[in-house]
Amino acid sequence: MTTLASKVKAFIELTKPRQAALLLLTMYGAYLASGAPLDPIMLLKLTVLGFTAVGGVTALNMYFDHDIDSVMRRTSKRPLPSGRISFGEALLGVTLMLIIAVTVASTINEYVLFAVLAGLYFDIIGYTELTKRFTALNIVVGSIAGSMPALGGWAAGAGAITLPGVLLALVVYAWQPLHVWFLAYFLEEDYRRANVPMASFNYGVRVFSALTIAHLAIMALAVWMFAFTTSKGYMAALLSTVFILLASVRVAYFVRSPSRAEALRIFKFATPTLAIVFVLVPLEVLASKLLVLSW
Amino acid sequence: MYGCRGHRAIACIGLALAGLGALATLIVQNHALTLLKLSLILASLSTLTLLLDSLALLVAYTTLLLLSLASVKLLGAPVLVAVLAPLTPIALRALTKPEVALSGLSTALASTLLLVEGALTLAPYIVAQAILAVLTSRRLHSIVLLAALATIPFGVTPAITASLLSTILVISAGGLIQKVGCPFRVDSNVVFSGSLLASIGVVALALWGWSSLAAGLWILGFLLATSGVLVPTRAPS
Repeated sequence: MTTLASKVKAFIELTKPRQAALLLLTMYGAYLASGAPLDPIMLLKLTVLGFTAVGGVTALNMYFDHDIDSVMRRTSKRPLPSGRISFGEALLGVTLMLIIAVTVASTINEYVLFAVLAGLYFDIIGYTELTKRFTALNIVVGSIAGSMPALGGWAAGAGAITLPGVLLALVVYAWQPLHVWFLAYFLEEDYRRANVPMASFNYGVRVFSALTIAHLAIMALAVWMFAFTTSKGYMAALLSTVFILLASVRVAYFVRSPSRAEALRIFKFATPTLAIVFVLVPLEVLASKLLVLSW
Repeated sequence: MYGCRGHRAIACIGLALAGLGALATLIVQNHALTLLKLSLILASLSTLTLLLDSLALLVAYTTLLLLSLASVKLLGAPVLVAVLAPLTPIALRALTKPEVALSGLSTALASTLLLVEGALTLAPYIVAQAILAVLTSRRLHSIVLLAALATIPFGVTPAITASLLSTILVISAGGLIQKVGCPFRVDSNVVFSGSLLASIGVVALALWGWSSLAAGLWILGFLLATSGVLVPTRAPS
């Protein structure tokens, strides 16, 4: 029994629940931003869907990347490299999780199902297999996968993939270089040991910082376009612009005096920069609904 | 685990693109039929490329699942076709290599003929390309087979353009792969899981008709199987 419990624990670790939680936030945020009601059954479905889809894809990613994980100091103690779970067990768990994800998504609508399968396609085939080990711009493809929970959340609420949903997905897409490249800069030694190219050190500080700022500009543009097209989320757009400007200033400062410590601080600053959009937009939508009701 | 030459990598990428096309049919309702046809043809030709090299039977298995699904969905073929078609590659396992190639060729051609409008004009072209493919080098046959794809929806001129482009692409990819080594290997466990899921999806479609769940399981299986033949080989140094 202890063995089974430890295997389950190891598998849960393989699904990176904390990362899944952040992506779940974007999914809930996009769902509520669509103006959908606070339906407890739908929220339960989204929770199950989010954890199984994101967790399953993440675990499959680790299955294929176990050789990289085993040589990186940060990841060498993960369940597969450390042998706490076998490859067969991991694959079984991944398959079951993805079956659950597809089953739940198909009970919502085909657009949500599309988002789940597109996430799998771009994360595993597009990123892990075709770009991660071959180009320093790998994350440009990988980020598409990260934006799929937001697209799925919107599709669940709106019943279709429409422009505002795509814009919210674009927000997540454009945010990811800030998150990934500065962490990779901090962990440069690890990435080099694993022979994984990253813009952070393959292209030099100036280039990757400029690319990050360009992505942040796209993020700001997407937030404002969302506000203009839906006439909602102006507060979120304003506040996130402040955060994006602050992040851009920090990145610019980083170019002048790059250091691992500053890279880590920028990485930590990335999460609230994204969270603010996906917390404030739905809050504004809910508040506007309440206002309408009170009238 | 196997090594690979340029044409195998291209065929694998062809399969990946076919997966993306199949995926897109879920949301692009207006062009779903065209997309599905193109995906099927691309998958068919890519698989044929692999089959002629007598490799990746499991990939072929998944493709046949895809084809049988299409025959049910698009053409209203008998349910029996969808159930029996996936069994074909299992029978093929027992055969020798030339027979595998011949069977694969016949299956792919028959499926293509079933699926494409104007099949009578397409058939001689595909057959001629396939014969040429068998007679010429492996790399060349993959070029002409992939180029044949372009003739289906657009006609002869785009086909010639596609042939030239694919020639450049394949030679470049082949050269690159020979220089840096083979970038892919097969994880048969993942391919098996994917094929199994795709089978369940197809059988569900055959028995209960079109549903999001069955289609989702089939596409999930297809994507898993495709990911199983594109596992990167480059070991960390």
